[in-house]
Amino acid sequence: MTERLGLVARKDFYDSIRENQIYYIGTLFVLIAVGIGYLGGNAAVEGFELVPPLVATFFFLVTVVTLTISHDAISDKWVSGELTVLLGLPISRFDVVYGSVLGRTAAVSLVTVVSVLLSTVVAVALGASPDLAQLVVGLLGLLTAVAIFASLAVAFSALSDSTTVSSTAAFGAFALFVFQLWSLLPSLVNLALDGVGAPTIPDDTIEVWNNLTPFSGIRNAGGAVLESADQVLGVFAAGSLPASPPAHQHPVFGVLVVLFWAVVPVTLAYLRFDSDDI
Amino acid sequence: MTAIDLAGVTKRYGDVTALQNLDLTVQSGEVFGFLGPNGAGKSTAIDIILGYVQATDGGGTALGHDIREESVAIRQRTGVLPDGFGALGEMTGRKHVEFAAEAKDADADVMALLERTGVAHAADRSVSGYSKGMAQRLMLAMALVGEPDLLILDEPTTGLDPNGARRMREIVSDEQDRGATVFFSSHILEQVQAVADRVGILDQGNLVAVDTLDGLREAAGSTDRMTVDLETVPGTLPDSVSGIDGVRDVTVRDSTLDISCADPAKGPVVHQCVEATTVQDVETSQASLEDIFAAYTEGGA
Repeated sequence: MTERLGLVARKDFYDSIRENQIYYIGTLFVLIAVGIGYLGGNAAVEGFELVPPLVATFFFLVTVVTLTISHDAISDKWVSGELTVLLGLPISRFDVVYGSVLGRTAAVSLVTVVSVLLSTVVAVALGASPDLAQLVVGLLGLLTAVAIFASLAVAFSALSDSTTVSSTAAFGAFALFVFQLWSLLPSLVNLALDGVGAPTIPDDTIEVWNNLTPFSGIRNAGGAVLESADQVLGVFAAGSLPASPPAHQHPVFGVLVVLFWAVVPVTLAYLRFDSDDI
Repeated sequence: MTAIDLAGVTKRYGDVTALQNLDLTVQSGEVFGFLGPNGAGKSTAIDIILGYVQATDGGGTALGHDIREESVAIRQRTGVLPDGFGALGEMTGRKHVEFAAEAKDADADVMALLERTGVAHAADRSVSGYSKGMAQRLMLAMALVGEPDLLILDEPTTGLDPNGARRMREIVSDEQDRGATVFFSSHILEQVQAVADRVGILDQGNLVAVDTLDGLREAAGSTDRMTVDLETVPGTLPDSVSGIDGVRDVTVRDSTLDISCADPAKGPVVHQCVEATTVQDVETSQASLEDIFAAYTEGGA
């Protein structure tokens, strides 16, 4: 079933090179990363830590860029007729969906790794001593975010042959998780159901709900290996991560949340796409 | 052996029935032309065979594999020139064929295939800059990768110049000689007539006829034509020719008779003319596929 998965993934990755996307993204990422590295290096003597602001900035960047370059991964192929050619070959729809996720993830991951490393090199050259554990966990957190948002965006793109639908859905995901509209939803439900009366959704349920976002999942999972996970990975996560986290902030729960966002939406989209007429 | 076997295939889009209870068998090694006007359901039938579209009812096999469940296995041994195709991103023509070869896990002489379809000169150009005809040739090259057992070509000559159309016909014949089955759709009658062993005529989602061209001619009532140039047209000749068994229609034009008749009636017609006057020239033509097509799709048969 997955023999051609790698073929589609490689094609998608090299498409980003052939279409120069990777160069535009890479240039943007490197400029920002080197800028942060330069500022971090110069400020090192005052106790400035490089990794938290670098990772926080890149959480924003990778989310925007991954959603942008992935939201039409399938819908654009659908509209252009490329999908017809791919599916005229012995390539399954499974290969198309998951290969697209892998290809787009690889493209953004490559420029992310290069940028973060360059930033670190610049900072070190200027005298900073970044925390290696923070750097590794921060980078893994970023790559996890890339995979989740590539997966989500490809899911949107597989739901319709309209790039308008998929781009609107991608923007919705950005608003939910980066602008954190997600955390407003329970309050809106309470307002709608109860007005100013006693809330239907209690606070502890809202607390669990807020920890179901991809960013909260990444932060909470990172808590297993990094004491300062909240500082490094918490920019778009809900609340804070205590030293002894409750069940809904436990690293295992965080891993499950991450796996959910990385796997479930795209799989549901694949199942729908698999029965669609092209 | 059967290459394609469809039974009761129906496709409905809401209230619109694109294909109605299609039963069709294509034998291995034959060239089968699927003929019909735009919107007749030709592409829908091909899309169902290839798994692009799921049939509402019915099913079948291609190369022995179930069209619903084993689409990838079918496409492993099938070369496809789809309708409404698009370039694979910004890849060059050469990369397109290499991609097809890798997908099929086949050894392919990429340049030889591009030469064969007449697009080798643009092998290293991005396909996004190809003309419609060049892209059509490239898609055919991709379809030929791996010497497929079955070629499914949806409107293969659309966008091709006359040389390209001729080359397409030659390739279809060569592929048949190699042992491949060719199933192609077209609304261009001459293309079908030139290469097809059998023809299926589809009209408004219904398969109205399947046969060889000769069989279709016969079934459609044989509308062969004769043009007989005479020195003069004696007044009684048109009526006497009309009375010959198998003659359908006689029209007098100056000193010429235009006759629509069955093939066996041609001899008696000439004989009658020779007895009545001096015959200067005789031209005969078989019923064209266009005539047959009109007979089936306009209720004439």
